[in-house]
Amino acid sequence: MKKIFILILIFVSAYKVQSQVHVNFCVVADADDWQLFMSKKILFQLEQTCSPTCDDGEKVVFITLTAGDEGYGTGSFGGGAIAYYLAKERGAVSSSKFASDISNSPIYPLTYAIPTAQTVALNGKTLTKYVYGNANGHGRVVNYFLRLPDGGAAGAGFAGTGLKSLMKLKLGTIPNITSVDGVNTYTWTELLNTIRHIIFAEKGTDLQVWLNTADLSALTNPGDHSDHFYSATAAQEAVPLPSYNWVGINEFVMDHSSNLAENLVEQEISLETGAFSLYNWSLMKNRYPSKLTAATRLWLSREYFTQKRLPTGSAGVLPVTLLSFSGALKGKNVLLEWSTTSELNSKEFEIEKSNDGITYRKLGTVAAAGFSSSLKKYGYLDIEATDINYYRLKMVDLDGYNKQSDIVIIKNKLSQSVSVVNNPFKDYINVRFAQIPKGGITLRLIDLSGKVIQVSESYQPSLSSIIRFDLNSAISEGIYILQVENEGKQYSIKVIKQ
Amino acid sequence: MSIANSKMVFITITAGDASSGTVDYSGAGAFYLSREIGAMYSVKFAADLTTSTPLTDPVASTVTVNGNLITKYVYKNTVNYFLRLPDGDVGGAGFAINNDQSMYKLRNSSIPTNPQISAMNVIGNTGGGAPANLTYSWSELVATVRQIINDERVPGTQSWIHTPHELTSYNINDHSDHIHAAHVAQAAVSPANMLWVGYTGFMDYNSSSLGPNLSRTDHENASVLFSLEVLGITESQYANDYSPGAGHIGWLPMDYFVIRRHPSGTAPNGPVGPPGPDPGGLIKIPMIIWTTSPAFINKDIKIAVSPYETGQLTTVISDMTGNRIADLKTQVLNTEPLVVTIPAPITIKGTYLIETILNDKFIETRKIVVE
Repeated sequence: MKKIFILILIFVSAYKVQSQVHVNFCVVADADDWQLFMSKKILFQLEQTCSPTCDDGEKVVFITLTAGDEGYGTGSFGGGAIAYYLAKERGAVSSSKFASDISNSPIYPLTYAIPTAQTVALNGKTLTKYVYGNANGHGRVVNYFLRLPDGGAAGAGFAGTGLKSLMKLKLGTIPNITSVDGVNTYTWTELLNTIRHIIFAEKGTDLQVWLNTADLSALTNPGDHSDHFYSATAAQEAVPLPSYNWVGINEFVMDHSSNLAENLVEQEISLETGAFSLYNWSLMKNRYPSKLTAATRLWLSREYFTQKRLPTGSAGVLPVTLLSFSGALKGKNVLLEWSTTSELNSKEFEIEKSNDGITYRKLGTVAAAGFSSSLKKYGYLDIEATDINYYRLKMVDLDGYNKQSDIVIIKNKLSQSVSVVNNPFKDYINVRFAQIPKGGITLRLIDLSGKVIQVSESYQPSLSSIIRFDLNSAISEGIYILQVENEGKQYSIKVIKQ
Repeated sequence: MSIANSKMVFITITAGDASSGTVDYSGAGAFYLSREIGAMYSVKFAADLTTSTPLTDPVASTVTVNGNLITKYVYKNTVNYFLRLPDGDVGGAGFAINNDQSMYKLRNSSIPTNPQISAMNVIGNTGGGAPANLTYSWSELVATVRQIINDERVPGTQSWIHTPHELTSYNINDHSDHIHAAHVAQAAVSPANMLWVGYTGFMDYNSSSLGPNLSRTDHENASVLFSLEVLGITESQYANDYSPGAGHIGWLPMDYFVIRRHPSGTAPNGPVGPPGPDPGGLIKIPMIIWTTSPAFINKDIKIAVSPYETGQLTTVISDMTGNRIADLKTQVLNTEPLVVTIPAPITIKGTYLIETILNDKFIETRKIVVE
């Protein structure tokens, strides 16, 4: 009985580890790459069940870096009904829907509507995205299209798109590259950061994910298309070790696979051909010639890949390395400064403040770099500094995870004084105390004839050094006296109503 | 389709609505319409693969053939006709949503013990706002298919009809509608003035139990064509039959068929005359009492037959690929049992089929092993 119990425990434990990978990424150069070179693996990844629990079902996210436009950019040729790159994108969307449907049959008899393009903002870029499928255990496929210029087989680029290519970007021949639709421009670093942003935006709560890319080895994948190679280079550089040890990598033989022996069985060939057909249908429907040729047919019965890297670590821990966090008085204010040596997936820094070291409130936020492997410096000016100020940083990542910094204490030996922040004023007056006022506060607005126009009295201790005095909008423009009473002292300040 | 100056005409007889009738479950179109669109996609893809630059998708037109309104698509050298008869289900019982109609029942209405229907109603509209009250008797159905063949013929040439094999001895466990589509096609070209049309007989469901026999390219082409049919279905949000679990892709790597009749003569130039009395479909009834058993090569084979009526009895022996080996016609003078002797018809050991056909109306098939 004891032995049986132990065996069951081991089984459950192993199962939980396996069930954590639900999201698979596929970074390719062209919209038809995964159908020709990876579809068996993609279908396998879509078929995996996500029991016992699953947030959003098995998912494959395709990130297609180039427009595959062959130099036509946003143009068409030979009577094409739409831009060539759009016909290719829609073909990829159609074939990925097909892959999802055949891998995880939706609720009989219905599937879901064909997805339409969305526009999403990531890493300062505006990306085109398609989503198909939903939760409840159905497959989900997501397509991102970055639409970078087709670099051609050798990476020389095409004249129609300014002879730009991923290879030239990586090698520094060109400083940046602009998508064929003119929407985004990327440096190599920005391209890597965008891939990372997509991974974090799509991975959900997965602790580990898989990445499918072209094989970078000249031994196993010789003579590959330049865009294949540099798309895979970008993808793999985007997930370096050790920070991204939670990303497993499968490397696929691409063009060279036609030189290898057939290794798919009949059913797999049918599936790969079906997926590729749907891609071609979009081309032909938009009056472009099919890519189902004698050359491409050779790839339909072959698929070779190697597992380059197993996922080992776990994503989800805030990947920000805080180098320093300090504060200093700048006149009546406190300047907070901090720096990071690396950031992965960071969203923002929340500055929190306390006057007693126990209860903190949010003072403000500063956007984080998102992804960085270099020194980044940040600052925040607290204009509500009081006698004793406790500060801490809350570092928030894109998934909502957060971590707090150590506490910085700034003492400010200021005597109490009062000033007006917004003078002249319109509908309200912000009254600033040098130190957080203790006890009740009485605010009076008096005109130059001595008539009290409006009074505000509060008896609760304030948590802030700035007190807002809301005024009747019907007050006439002109000069008034603001009278402030606190802790037995009275302050008078001339204010102007605009 | 890839042969110069050739034309491929697809005549799809049933709606294949699979008990859905004209109901639009998805909100994106009725199931049978999604299948038609898929068939159109598939044919268009095939035409574009072998010819020039793709053109825009064809749109449906409505044509009158033999007095019936039929939906038709034309694209390059392809034509699709959709007759939209109710799906008869695998066993020919039909579906309640279509009042249990089927081609099986239509063809066998002369058998008193069978469920009888004298006409089938076309489901849905035939396009162009035509009403859904079109009907076919069996003879009207045969005549309509024959008329399509004549309308599409190229004078001076020969044609082929590709259709399922109607004999369940070859085309084992096939769908009732498949079998009866074959009966319709064969009856359509049975008159003497239609001999310029040859026909094949395909093995459908059972083919997946045999090994793949297509070249890699042919297998890929079959995959392409079926995936496009599925695309039409899934565009209207119906289930994807390309899923391995659905079993359909198991049929893609193979094509098994036999040539049932070679064409002779050529299609006429002028108007086609009346075909004469329609032979109707062949009705399976028990006629064979016994056959020589065991049978031996180079020996006579005897078949004892109990005829249902007087007339002409045709006895055919074929090999398992459908090649006719012997053909004997016997006049039946009364309904008493008779013995037909075929002199030493078989020279090679193996399994063969015996068909007894009475008056081109009744048929029984039996398998024999010759040692």
